[in-house]
Amino acid sequence: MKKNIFILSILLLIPLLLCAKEYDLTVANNAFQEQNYQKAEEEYMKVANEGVKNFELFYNLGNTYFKLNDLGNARLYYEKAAKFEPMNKELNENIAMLLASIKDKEDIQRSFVETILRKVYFAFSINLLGVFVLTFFILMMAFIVLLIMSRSAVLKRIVKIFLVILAVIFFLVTVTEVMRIRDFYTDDSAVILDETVIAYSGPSDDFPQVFTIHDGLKVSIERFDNDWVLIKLPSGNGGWVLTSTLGII
Amino acid sequence: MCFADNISVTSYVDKNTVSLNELLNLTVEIKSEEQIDAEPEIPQLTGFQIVGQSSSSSTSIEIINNEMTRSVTQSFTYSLRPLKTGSFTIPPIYTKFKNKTFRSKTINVTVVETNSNIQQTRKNTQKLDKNTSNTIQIFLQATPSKSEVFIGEPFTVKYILYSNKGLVGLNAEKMPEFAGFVKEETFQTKNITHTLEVISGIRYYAYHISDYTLFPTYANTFNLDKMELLCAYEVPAKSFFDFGTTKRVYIQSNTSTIKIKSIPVAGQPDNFSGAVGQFDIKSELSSSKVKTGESVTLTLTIAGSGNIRMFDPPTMPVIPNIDTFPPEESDDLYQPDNISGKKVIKYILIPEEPGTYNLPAISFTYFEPRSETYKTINTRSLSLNIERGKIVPGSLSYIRPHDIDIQGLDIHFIITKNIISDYVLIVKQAWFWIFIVLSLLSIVAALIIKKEREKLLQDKAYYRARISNKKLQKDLDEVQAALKNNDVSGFIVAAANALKNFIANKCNISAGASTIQDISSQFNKNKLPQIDVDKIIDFLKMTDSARFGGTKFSHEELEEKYNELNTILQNLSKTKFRKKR
Repeated sequence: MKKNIFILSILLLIPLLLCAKEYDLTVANNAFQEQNYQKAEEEYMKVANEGVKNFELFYNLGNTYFKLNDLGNARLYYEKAAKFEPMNKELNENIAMLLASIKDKEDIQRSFVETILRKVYFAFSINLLGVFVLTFFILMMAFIVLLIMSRSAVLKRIVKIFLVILAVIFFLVTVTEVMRIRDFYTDDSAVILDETVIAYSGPSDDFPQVFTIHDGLKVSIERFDNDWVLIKLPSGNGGWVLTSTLGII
Repeated sequence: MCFADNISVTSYVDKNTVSLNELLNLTVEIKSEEQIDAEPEIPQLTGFQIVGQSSSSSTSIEIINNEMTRSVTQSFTYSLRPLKTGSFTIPPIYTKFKNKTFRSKTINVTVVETNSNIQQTRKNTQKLDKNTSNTIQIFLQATPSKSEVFIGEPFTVKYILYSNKGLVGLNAEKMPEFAGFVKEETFQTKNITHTLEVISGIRYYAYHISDYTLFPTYANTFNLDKMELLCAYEVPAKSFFDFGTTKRVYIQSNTSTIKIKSIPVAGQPDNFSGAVGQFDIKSELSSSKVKTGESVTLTLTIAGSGNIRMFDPPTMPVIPNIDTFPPEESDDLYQPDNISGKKVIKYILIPEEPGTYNLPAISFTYFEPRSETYKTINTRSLSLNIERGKIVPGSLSYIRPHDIDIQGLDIHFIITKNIISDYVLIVKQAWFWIFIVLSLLSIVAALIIKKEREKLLQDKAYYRARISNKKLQKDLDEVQAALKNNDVSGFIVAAANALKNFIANKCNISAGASTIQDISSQFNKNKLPQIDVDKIIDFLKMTDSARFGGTKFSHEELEEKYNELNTILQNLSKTKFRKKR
């Protein structure tokens, strides 16, 4: 009886634990629909400034900035949204349209194998992968219990086979989940926000210029030095720019 | 003259002085004893152009002093046309035969301006002596219908050859090209036929040579190209022995000047497509009532005079829900000058949706040279009634699917989800880890259960000790039932069994075989407090004496005994026994 009460209380606790704070985007969404993009941006940013991380919020912000012709911020928020749903079709099509509008060419060539691996890697969201991890773990434990408790040799053999399969799946899912969470929390990419940004060979404008880039370009961050940051272009070229000229994804 | 192997080559001309409009005959004679296969090689002749060639051969036999001499003469005659005035030398003419070369002498010829016997211009004609019947008066008259036209405005040029003598041959040496114009030859003579015309009192044979209709393509002042003809006429015999001769003469047409003017750019309507002239427009539908998918023809006729072939048809306005195919165009020009006529444009319309449609008026703009203004004319608007018809795929009237008109591209719309929540990673949630820990604990539990089970199976004493409480409960239930029924003997038996079974299970000894002594020794082994031992022994003795001695108990006494039993059992359950293995 006591055991039953314990299980019941756990089950009742789950929805409470899952319940997160909610935010209303009605005003912002309506402003966008009325093509009042300036207001939509203000309203979306009110929520974003509260530190809310949400796919729909970032996607809509990206769209709003695109409509305001602020390609830097549009890209920044699209990339932020992509952290949640990297394979979202509409998001990727919007990014493709944005890439056609930015000044710097960003040609990402992927081999067939790379494309397939990427599709598999990003096939499920981080939370869905988390559910998979938990499910496979519970299943694995259940099979271990069955193995311990079983007295039939045949049943034990069958359970062992299933256990091996489950262990392999669990390992792959867990590795993917860990890597995805690591990617999610790593701030190693940024988007250029200023219309024209000059990069220098050192963390000061006294150093020689190395290249000029424009808003909307995605770069990777190498390291920081006071107000300056060393960025790396998709082509591999590196240069120092002012931190204020870019937005970290 | 050259002699070699009895072959001689002679060249001569019919006259040493020739006028520009006459022909010079150059004859080369090759004399030999036998018919030979040789032909003179005519060098480049300065100041002359070879316009004709003929050859003949004759054989003569002479008998002198009974000696017969045979000679063969081959004559090659070339008609030379003088190109300019001056003195020219016809170089020696070489003839090759059997690896030998024979040459003739050079000939000097003078070319003069005109022969006084041939008059070409109409002006000179008036000054001519009318009685000089041997003089040929010939001229080629080019007559344009207009002297000043606009670009695209057509006009005609007529070529008539006038001669006071009948012509026996006529050859076109050079026909006009008319650079800067699009030309259409509307007439060309096929036979030497003439009419009679009297000009300035002189009767002429008028030969209508050709007519052209010209469409100017750019603004300029042009001298029309000259036509050149080679005419042959007969000079009648002067005496009985004179058989008369045929003379040939070159004639050039007179010079005509045409001024081509540009069409004014100022005020030119947008739909002007280059039509110049005077036109009228009308439109008609093949049927005013059709079904969807069926075709209907809209015929547009532009009639009038002007450059009918040279302008584009007016654009058909877009009619919603009516598919318009590219128009079929045909021109029908009227003889003789091809200036008047009509342009017929047929538009195939296929209605896609039923309804009554007003086909808008089609406007057409042309430039009218007479008033030097642009004129825009319109067709009347037509009504077309369309009923829903059956669409049969594959039939001619079937409307094939056409490409979707893409007007532009935009980003996908926002996600209109009004209530959102902050992103929560489930791996950071407590319940996630609770489930993980619970799963792990299930393993521990399973191991414990397994160990317990194994122990129960292997250790009988342990098993009995584990089940002793359950068994006791069962026995006590029986005791209680007997108490309830006030069944003294049943109570005594049940109480004794309950106590003995409990002790037997606890000490892992046989319950049935255990005597008070056995039990007592077990208690001593387990070092139970003597007071407890005494109580148990006393109780057991009481049961024995009651069972076998027939002691009677009241209900209250039985309840007291029951309480006593409970106390004993409680004490015993707290005691740990050394189990007999």
